[in-house]
Amino acid sequence: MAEWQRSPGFDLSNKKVLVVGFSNPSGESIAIALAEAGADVATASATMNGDEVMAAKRASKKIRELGRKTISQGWDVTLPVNIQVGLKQIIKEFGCPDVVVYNADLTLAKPLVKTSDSEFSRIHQVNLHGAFATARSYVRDLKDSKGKIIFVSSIFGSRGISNTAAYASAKAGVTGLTLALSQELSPQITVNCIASGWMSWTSGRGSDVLEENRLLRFIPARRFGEPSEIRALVVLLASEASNYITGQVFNIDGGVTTHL
Amino acid sequence: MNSLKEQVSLSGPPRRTAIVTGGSHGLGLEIARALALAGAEVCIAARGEHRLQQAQQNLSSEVGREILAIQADVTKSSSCESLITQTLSSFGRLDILVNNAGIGDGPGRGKSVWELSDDEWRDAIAVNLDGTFYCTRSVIPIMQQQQTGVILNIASGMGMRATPQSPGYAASKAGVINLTQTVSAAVARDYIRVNCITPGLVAQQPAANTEESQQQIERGQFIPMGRLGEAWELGPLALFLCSDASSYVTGANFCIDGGGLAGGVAPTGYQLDMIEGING
Repeated sequence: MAEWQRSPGFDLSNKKVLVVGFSNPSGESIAIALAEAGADVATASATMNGDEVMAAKRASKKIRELGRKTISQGWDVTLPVNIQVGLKQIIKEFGCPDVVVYNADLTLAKPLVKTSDSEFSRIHQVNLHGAFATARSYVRDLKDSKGKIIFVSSIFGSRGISNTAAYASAKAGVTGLTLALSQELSPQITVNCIASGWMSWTSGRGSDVLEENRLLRFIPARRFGEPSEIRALVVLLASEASNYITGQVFNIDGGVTTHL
Repeated sequence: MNSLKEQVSLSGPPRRTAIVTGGSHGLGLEIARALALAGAEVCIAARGEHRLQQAQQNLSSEVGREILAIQADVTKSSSCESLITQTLSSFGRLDILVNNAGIGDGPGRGKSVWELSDDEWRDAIAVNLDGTFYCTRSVIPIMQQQQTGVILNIASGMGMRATPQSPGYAASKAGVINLTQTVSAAVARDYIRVNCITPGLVAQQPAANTEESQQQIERGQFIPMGRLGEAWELGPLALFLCSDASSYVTGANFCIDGGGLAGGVAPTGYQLDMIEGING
């Protein structure tokens, strides 16, 4: 009987990964976990916001301290040419990523009638169009090599919540992108999505004290998620052990989407 | 904050303990293997004694630690209770329950709803759904007392989509998916997490000969990834869901199916040459 070639689930030795998006603490946590698992990790901000660019650079510094190769760039994902050129430069100086993690996240909480065209457009550009343009540049540059794309999105793309027309529709778009690309790019490239729930950095979450916050009591886990609770799944989805997983949206949400 | 390595380890302290039902072969054995290699004390349970003993011996020698094996019939609540009690008394605690025992190839397999006898309907429901319920009901009070625990159910893509045949099997697996959500909502306050893995078409073991290998290749052609899954591929995902790495994941259904469930509305894909204006 022929034996299977098993791969360890959380080992990324000899892999190169690009992480885009450091506006939330999850970006750094993901990038460092990938490096801990043995990967070389390139970092890029999703916007030219100074704090985000510095967060990407800080992550790269920590990756270097772990003895892994890294490079850091400031991107503006609303400009597809910026993504295209940035990625080509990363490929030249760092090598072609085996995995791309798109963690760009720009939130907006406004009633429909107060959301301007430009606000709607910007939210869509960063969350959805940037995901599309990053995937397109990556797949073009991959040529015939195998690859993996991981989008980090939000449960707001699959459940309704008021005052999030722009954000929720953009995140729902990322789900559609995941489904469509998983079919189009199989079997060469796997495409998956992690949808985070109410996290400790989600704006509009209210008080962290259970008694003061009805939302917190509504979440079955009765707490908000932490940055360290996203990263292990990213590592698993980046590894060879996940080669049969594609087209999935995985909720990490303390059980909140199971509610009726 | 724990490192990634600590998050995916089951070696403790305290060393995690696990029961895997249907653990003597295929998916169950591979899940048991992944948990044991990550450091857990593992009990495998199955109906057939011979295969169970064989699996126990092989797995114990591979992990270098004694694997517990208990004969159990999950269609009987008394058998499930005794499995849980015996494992608890051997290990002293119970952190992980993997409800994997299932039948797919029962006598009702491939039959349409009007052809199914009472017994054929009951067979699938009894093993796949009753068994999951009985073991879950028995283990929850223990996990509640510990104020920690993980339950992992194994469903099937047939529980999420329709095929014309095997209604008992499909309904039982759909039941497992909903039971996962309902139980997760009920026990979250006790720090117990309940999740589900939905495999698509997965080979239970490597092809034994060229004929089997050819069959696997043919069956895999209809899947976007172009192949069947291999049972070992559930191991790392199960380890993720059974370890602290998934500490904010509960009530979730994780599919591993080569992209089958993500598609399914057009086996041909969107045909560009059939649409004027898009091509070129």
